[in-house]
Amino acid sequence: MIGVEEHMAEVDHHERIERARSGDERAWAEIVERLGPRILGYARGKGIADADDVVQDVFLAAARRIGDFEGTWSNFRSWIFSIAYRQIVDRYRRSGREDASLPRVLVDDLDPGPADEVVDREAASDAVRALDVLSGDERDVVLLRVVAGLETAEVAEAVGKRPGTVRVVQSRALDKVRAELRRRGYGELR
Amino acid sequence: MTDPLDRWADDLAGDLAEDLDPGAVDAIASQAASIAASAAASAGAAGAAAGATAAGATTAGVSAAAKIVTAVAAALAIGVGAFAATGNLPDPIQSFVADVVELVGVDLPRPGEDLPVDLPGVELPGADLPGEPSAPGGGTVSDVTVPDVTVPGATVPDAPVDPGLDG
Repeated sequence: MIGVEEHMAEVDHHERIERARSGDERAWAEIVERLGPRILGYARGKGIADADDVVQDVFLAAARRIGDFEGTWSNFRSWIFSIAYRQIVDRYRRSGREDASLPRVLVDDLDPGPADEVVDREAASDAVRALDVLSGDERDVVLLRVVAGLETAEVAEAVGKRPGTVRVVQSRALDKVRAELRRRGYGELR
Repeated sequence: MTDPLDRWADDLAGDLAEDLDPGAVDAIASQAASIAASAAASAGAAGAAAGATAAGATTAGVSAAAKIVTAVAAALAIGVGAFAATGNLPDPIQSFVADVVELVGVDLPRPGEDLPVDLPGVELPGADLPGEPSAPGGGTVSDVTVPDVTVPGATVPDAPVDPGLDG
């Protein structure tokens, strides 16, 4: 049973989706602001060089098909990330790349930023490098859970798998990441 | 021992996810809104057109269907009637049709009525048909189930018993 605040939030989300469906620019801006950074992170984590373009393509594809969408905000998030998932799969297919390739470009291109953030940046680079131990499917699940912030059921909906399968993949993936982090002594320098 | 995954998850999300440039948000939102509005308008127009087409198609479809049903029924009535009047329908059908039209006072020949059914010793069709029945295509019809045919008014005499066979 959901609380009043959650119910009101769901009403707001529903109203926002309806406005977006009718072509309200402000509604789309709110959606892009909320979900855009997560799509960007997901695409970067998958090693997509033109991650910004993925973000744009996802929302434009969603705009074309939002008339057919029905569901809650949770369903909407899953739907948006299912579009992102397919966009990325298509990019891999067109480029002929292996899905599990590490996003080296991202890691190498990280701006160092202010001096006091250098150590954090290095640690963050290690965090991205830890994805290297994961298969393509495992990376999808981990990124959608950790970076996109989706629940297990939402991840399942986004990638077209059963929730039980997603839980198994997630558990296996996190075990591999944990072992890799311990092997590297991750976080011990901080 | 702390789980390195806790810190790792925060680091990963913080490093990969990044707020979009406001200009980029506005540009994407503007395009998306335009596309959605266009799609909504198209869907509305298509829906209205589809509704009108469907309504017309339904009327036309019903009209055409009614004409077809009427034509088929008329053809069947004429065809069956002609065959029934001359007793040329297959026996079960001939019998059925005769039973039906008898209710409205029409007397049609029934299967076997052209045979001298009252003559002793004469067997009705269906008892011993000459030759092997055949089906279209050359197969036998031994597996075909034919409904029993009743011949109202026909007297089927008992087969003559040869006293010699008893003894």
